[in-house]
Amino acid sequence: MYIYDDYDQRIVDERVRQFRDQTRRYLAGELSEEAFRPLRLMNGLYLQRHAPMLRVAIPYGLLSARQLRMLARIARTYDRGYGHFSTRQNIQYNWPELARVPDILADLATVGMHAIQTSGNCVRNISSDALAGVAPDEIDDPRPWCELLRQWSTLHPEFSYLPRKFKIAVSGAEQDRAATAFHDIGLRLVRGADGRLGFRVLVGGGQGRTPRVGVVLREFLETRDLLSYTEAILRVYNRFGRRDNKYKARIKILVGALGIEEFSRLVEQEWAAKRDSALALTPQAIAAMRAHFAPPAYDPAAAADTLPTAGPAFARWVERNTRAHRVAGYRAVFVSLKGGRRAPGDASAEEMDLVAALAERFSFGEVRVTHDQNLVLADVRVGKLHALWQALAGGGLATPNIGLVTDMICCPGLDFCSLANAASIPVALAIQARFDDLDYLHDIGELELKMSGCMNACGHHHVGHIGILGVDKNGAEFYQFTLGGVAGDGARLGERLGPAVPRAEVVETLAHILEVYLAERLADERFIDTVQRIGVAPFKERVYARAA
Amino acid sequence: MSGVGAMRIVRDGRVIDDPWRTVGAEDVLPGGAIIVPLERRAEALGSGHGADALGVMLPGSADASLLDGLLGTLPLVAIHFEGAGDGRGYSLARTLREQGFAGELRACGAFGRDQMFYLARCGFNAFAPDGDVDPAALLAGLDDFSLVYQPAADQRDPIGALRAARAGFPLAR
Ligand code: SF4
Repeated sequence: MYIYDDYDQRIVDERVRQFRDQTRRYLAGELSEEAFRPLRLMNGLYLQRHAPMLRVAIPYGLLSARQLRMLARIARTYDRGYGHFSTRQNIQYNWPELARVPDILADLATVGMHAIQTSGNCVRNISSDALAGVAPDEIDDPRPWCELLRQWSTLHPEFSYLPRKFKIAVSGAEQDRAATAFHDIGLRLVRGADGRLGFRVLVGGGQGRTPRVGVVLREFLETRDLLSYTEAILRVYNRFGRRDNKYKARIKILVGALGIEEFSRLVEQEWAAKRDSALALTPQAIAAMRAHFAPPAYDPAAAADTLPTAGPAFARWVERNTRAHRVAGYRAVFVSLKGGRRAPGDASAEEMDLVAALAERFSFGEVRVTHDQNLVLADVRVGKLHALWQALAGGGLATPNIGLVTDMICCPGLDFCSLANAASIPVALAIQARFDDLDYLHDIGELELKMSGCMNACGHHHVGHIGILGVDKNGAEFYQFTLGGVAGDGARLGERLGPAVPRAEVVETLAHILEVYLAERLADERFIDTVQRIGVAPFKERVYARAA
Repeated sequence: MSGVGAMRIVRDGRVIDDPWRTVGAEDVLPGGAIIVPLERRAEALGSGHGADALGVMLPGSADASLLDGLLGTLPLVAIHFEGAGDGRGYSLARTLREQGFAGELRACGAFGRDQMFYLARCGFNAFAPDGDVDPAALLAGLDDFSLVYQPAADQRDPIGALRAARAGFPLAR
């Protein structure tokens, strides 16, 4: 993985010093709340319902064991002993004290971490495929490109006061596991007709109140032009994006208003002047960055590893929580943070320490955070899977539910977020408690359930196979269901099922939807395929039958 | 504004007495070096002002093309930041520098010491914010970081170039 050199280190150290001084000036009354706000946001610090919330960047979801231990230590020292992994592969702490945030940032800096640009109207953490570098369907490793973008965007002088936040995702595989169609810029690594590597560039995707599937801005961008072209897009956005209404300020609205042809013309015009500037990537710079992501020392003997027969529970976990690896004898292992005891994505300091130790023992000391709020140990020998499973199970981290209903994603909602209309965590826990029968869950199979506590859609409900959105109806919590959303390939928004249901009926509504699926599915058809085949109507009929 | 002593501003890394006077849309045009809204430039030239003592003020939202043909003549362009969160002036400044403007590029309006580093990197060399901002604090803001990741309008070598030099491989271009 990418390890900071002295230059990177100096930047994060200076950032800590800068923020310490800003915080001091704010607490001393020299800086107004209004002036401090964008500064704290650009360091990931929100003022929430109960306390500040600090969001720490995990670039493209990649962590070393040492960094994960530091996250655990911060949870213990400055928070209440846990952290929350977010849908953008970051971690959030819900209970830090404002005056101690500079100390947290100083601790993070000792392991090459920071909270730079995890909020605010700037380029946010770049997100990517949690199986980067190990997926068998990979065209090219997205991580070097993510890191090049991370560095280019860090403290970018021109783009720190954009009309609104700006999110970029990079996917390097045949299958899009990074939801590139739902980002301000989505980059897909592709091979051109002559076999050359490049990017297909999507722009204007996003969720929130105005969900949009991104559109192709450029079919093929040479890799050398990654930064100059991205900068050209950002300049057009910074100049022309709306600033009069924050709900209309994302780039998707600009692209929609101008039309993709005109938007593209403006970008090309800017780019013409930048293409051969110092932003052009040399083959040497690309090679040097790639070297940081060279494969670990896989053991060729692993190819002969066999899976032990160790009972149905282990077999089920292997089937559900591990994925194919491009190297023979290895698997990528998902660590479920959806065990139902805590909010989806929450991990205690002890759990983080355990995963860090297991990463060192079994997976070359690296951990990834997925955008579904789980963790991944990406390089585990097949012969070691059983030992790893036992260790994870001992820590309550082997729930075999990856990709199933209870592996739902959910935003913090009313429990923490000041924008929420409705609770999401307690509802998620109720769903997990109701559907805890493993045989039933496995029978239902692959199903992405996503829930947000308001239309800002942090829980990605628009793109859930089943989406649940919390709404406020005269002060009561109601929940709007959507069916058929897809985040990856064949990206589409879910369709509304019908009127929102009260909180007490959410679990039953879900049960009715699953009932219809079980009755209607053909052979081993997945839920999403059934919905696409039969449409929303049969589900609607069942759910609202009583009202009729 | 007229009649009082010169404003203290930051220019080229030093605190100086501002030799320019900023004139609003309605003000009577005084003599000496003045900064006028772009729309009043013709009027000022017509009333006998020399072009080398005549700067123009633009809002951050303005398009750089408004200055087409003028960049070689103007001694000073001032860009006014309407609100702290309005970052259009950063792009406008960089664009003017990219188009070869070599005169004084002055930031005015809503910003403070915490924006100085970014403003300077976008090509501003003079800073006259609204309100009661200590020029010495503004100066300090110029040094928030000693390294940069990306090329911009200033002359700093980005980290990528430093790494290339260390490793002995060529730079872009
Ligand atoms: S979706 Fe709404 S409630 Fe949930 S975290 Fe985002 S803003 Fe808060």
